[in-house]
Amino acid sequence: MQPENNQANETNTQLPNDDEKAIVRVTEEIIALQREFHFENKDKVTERRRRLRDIIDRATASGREA
Amino acid sequence: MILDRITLKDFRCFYGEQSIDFASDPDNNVTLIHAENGVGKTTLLNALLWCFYGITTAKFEKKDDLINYDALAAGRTSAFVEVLFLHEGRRYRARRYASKSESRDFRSFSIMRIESGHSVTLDTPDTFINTVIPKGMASHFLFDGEHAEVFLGEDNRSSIRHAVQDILGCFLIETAIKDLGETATYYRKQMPTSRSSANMDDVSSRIDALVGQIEIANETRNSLQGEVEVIEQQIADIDDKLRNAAATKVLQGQRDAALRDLLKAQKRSAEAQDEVLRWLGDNGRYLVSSRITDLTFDHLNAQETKGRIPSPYNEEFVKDLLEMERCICGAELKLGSEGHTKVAALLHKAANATLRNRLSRVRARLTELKTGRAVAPGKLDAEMKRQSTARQDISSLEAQLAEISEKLLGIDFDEIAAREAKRNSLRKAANEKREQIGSMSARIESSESDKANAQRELNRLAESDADARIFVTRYNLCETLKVRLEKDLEEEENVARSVLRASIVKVLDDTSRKAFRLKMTDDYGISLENDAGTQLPKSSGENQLLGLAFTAALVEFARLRQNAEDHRLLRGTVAPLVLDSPFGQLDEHYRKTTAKYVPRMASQVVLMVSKSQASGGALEALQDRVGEEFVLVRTNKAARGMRELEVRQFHGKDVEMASFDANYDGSSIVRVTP
Repeated sequence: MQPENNQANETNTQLPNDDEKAIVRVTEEIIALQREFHFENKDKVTERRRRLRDIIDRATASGREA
Repeated sequence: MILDRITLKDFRCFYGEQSIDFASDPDNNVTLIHAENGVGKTTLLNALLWCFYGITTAKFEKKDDLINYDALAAGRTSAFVEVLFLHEGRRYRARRYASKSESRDFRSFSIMRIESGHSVTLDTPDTFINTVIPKGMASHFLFDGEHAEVFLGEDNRSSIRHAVQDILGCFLIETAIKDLGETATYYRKQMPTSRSSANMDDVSSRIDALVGQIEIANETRNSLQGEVEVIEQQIADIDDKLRNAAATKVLQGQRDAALRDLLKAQKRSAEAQDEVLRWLGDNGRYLVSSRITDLTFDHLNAQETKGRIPSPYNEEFVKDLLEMERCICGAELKLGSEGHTKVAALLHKAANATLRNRLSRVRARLTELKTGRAVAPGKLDAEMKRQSTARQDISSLEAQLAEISEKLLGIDFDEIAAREAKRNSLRKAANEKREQIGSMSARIESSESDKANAQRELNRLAESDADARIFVTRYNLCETLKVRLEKDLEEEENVARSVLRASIVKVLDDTSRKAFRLKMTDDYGISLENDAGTQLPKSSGENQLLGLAFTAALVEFARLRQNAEDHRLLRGTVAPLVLDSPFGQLDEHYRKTTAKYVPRMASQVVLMVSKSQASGGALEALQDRVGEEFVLVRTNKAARGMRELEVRQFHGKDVEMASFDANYDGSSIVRVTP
């Protein structure tokens, strides 16, 4: 699992919104996360959202796109 | 999933171990359970839900008190519900325990796959049962007793929407949307701490406020729409009473006809209005181009006459002369000479192929505008006339309706005047609420626009703040993903709505004796209308059928989706359908047609009926499809005393509906299958 990344001074790594493939990939990751928590019956919202932030952080981090 | 057997051990009112074997033969797929109020019908229905998911419905009181009191008194400390079922050709046993003294490692829920000679305990029973029947869908199959009430209830919109979303399996998308919204806000709130300027903080707060305003306005609008529906229903009920009263039958008939004509006239007026606007969009240029077309034509003709357009010199010809360095008069045109310069200057005005083509296109366009202009006003006039006629019809019909209302107000007996007065005040209230809905919609639109502007401003501010940029990037990504998923969900719901609409119409066609239309708006407002476009009262048999038709449509939709591949949605399922008192207040005819239809609703149907429900020919119509039949009997520790003996006969077998001097208070299951 990737650590949460809130460092504000990292270089800008804009994920282009028109990058359809990246959007689709991130969406799939998010749905897989929701599926995992739904089926495992884990009612852990905080943990699920932290994992979601990891996905977003990775998708917007330079050279570390998911 | 096909249910095989349910066993209840000391579970609520079921003392000791008691079982029901379900009918699973495709030709005799109905399990009929006779049960009066208070004998454990709700407990039985909830036992299935509880066994599979550990949940119970809202109607299930004292939900933590699961162990039978007499069993506790006898020193037993646990209860269980066990369900044997078949899924994809394999047999399973699900069992859930309720224990008075649960130890930490007590495993309350387990599922075993039963194979020849041995059984295998599944590692993740929750996951497994959710793949067999997703939890969200379960309540629509395993505990259907409330569907009819949902439809007959005052605000059915959100319940219907939730049911559709449950069966569509969009839980994953919904949660993702919610999480992305929260995460977007998280990132936005991180920004102010990372830079010096307070501007971003202000913009961020503004976005927060706007999001709150939009949410409140949406809630208010939805609530108003629900209120309008309730009012319309009350008006429909009054109309129904007036339609059936001898003194007002004719007047109400006239009103129904006038209302039907009014709807048509309003439709015509709106269509004509749209046509006028569309016409102006398509043809407005003909009107505004009239003068300029004439002037341009005149200019072109005059210049052509003078030989200026196109130029009398062709570019190719002038270039040839310059290349040959000789004029047509024979004079020499040496490069740099005065003659050469003069001839070369002609190139500026010389006509070439491009210029000639362009000129030809201009003439063709002008001719088209001129022709269009000649026919344009005629078309516009026709639409304006149509609109005017429709408006006149509307005025005349409104006057007619007002006159009918006046007459009804004048009938001072049998509560007619009072009903009409009430109807008028309801109509006024509905119109006021519609105005408020319009105002809410405008507010939402304006707030959405302000929010978009604020988000743009935030992006602009972040551009000049390197520290904040990464958070804006993440915030934007969350918003983009959220909007996309919302759009996906909307599209999926649109498809689901069409499928359900078609299914409901088909069920109603098969079961109803009257012709009427199903009205299902995009926001799940559902009603039935007769040919005249008048809403049927909720108490009508047709509307009661609607509840059942909706359930049948959901079951069918889930079946269609059982192999759906979309990773964002949960798959549908084939599941047993448990129906509690589905015949409601239906008349004899509807009971029979409904009873005939029920076995076709799912591969396996469990039907609970009371004595009154079983009357009116329903059971006779159903009998051929019943594979198993049980009676829930009330068991009392008390002595019978003076209480009357209540015996019912099932297939020649006498069953005492309440027994006394028993070991426990509760219910017992008696099999009466012939």
